[in-house]
Amino acid sequence: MFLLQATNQPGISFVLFLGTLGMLVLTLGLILFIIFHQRKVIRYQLRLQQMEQEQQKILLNASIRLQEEERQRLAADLHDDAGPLLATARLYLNENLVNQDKTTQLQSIYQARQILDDTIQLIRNISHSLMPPTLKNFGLESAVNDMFQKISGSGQINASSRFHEYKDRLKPEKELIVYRVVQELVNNILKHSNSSFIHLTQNMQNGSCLLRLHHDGRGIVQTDFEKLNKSNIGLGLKNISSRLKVAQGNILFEKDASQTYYKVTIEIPRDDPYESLAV
Amino acid sequence: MAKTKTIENLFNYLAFFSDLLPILFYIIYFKKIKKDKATRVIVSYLLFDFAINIALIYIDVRIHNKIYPIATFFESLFFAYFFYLIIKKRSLKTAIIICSIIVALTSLSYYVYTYHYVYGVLKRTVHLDSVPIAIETFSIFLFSFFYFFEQINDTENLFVYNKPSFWGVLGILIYLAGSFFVYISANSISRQQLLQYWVITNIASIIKNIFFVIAILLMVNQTLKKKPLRKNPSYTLN
Repeated sequence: MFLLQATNQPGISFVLFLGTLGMLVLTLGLILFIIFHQRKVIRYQLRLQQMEQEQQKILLNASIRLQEEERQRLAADLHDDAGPLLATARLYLNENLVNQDKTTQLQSIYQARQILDDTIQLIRNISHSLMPPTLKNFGLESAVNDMFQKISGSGQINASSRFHEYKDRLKPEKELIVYRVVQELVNNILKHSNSSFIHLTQNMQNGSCLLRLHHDGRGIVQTDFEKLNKSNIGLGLKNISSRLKVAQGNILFEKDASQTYYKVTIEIPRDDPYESLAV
Repeated sequence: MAKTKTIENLFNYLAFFSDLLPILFYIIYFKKIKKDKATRVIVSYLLFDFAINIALIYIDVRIHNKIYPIATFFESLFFAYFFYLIIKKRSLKTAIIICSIIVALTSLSYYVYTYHYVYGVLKRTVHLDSVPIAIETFSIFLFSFFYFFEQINDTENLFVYNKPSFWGVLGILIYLAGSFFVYISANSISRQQLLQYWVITNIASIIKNIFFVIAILLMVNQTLKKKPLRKNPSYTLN
């Protein structure tokens, strides 16, 4: 108003006033847009962070639950199998103290020895299930081949494995992770897929170790895996995720191009000589 | 009419002395922010602007149109250098240098063409160098786009308005946006009318200086936060 009164050229005054106002509105609009956009980005990032934290929590819970289940299985094996066997051996030895007949004594000692042998074998089996000696002594290739031979030997399913480029072994900690992941996948395939064969191949690609598992049964694809990972079910799959996270590896569930087979690819980066794996 | 004149004068004085406000704060907190180059550039610009304003008071009105080009030319250089300092990305810095060179050369060629003398008499008489001012405004707006682009992509920075540079940029933008239409229409209207509209540029200038003060205070605040805690001698190992 002040400007309009100040001049006798209302046209110029109007243009000047509107122009300046327009420029100021544009400038402030730009700045407000940037502030709100930045806030939106920050909110999005916070939500992502929150989701990641929730995912971590799920994985941690899964790993704790799995550990507890493993402990329960161990406790059950020791209590139900080793416990009664040792108690029986003790009974036989007690019998030996009571019964003075030499033949009966020898017979009970023989029986007790048999039971002790069985117990030793049982404990060895438990120990092997905890840490396969082949993996420890001969590496991932031998341990996986051994596992597949045993599965194939059962006659239920045709299982084969082939390592093409595994001259330089991964670090023992990484080998154990890969072995456990393969073990879990194979268990799942045996339990749920109803397939007639499992085939594993190993290759190197861009400095990473790739393991591919094929089977012809029922399987899952990546979206199913991600869904199960976020849900409360699928403990084994969550365990796979958390193990691979430690080894900085990746896993991909997909269907073969021919749509006949399911394929699982595990990718583990090769060891950095200066890197130490914090497990 | 007299009332209007008083308001005009009031804004003239306020704009004139508001240049001193950020300088005053800079002097008060000099020890804390003396290392910051961008603040130094802003303060140097304000000193320069203040000197130009003094010159405009004491120098004959007829040769004011020779002082404005100097003000425009150096103002664009100060602002460009300010943006050069606050932008981190190498490619954007290079773009600022290239744009500034183009702007400076264009402005210089404009001055040579417009202000050259024919037998000791100015070829053309212009109140204000509107064309270089328009070019300067566009280039500074472009630099501010660079700055905001960088800020949007910066995920470390939570709130852009917590940065002193943001208030510096905001001040510059408000000043340029507010005075742009007055400057470009300066040669289309009489000197009398131009002086009446000058109040808009004065308001923009006052706002700019207030934002510069905010920038300086934020800079002081940040320096205080960054300052490491003094080591307690009793806790150090011998």
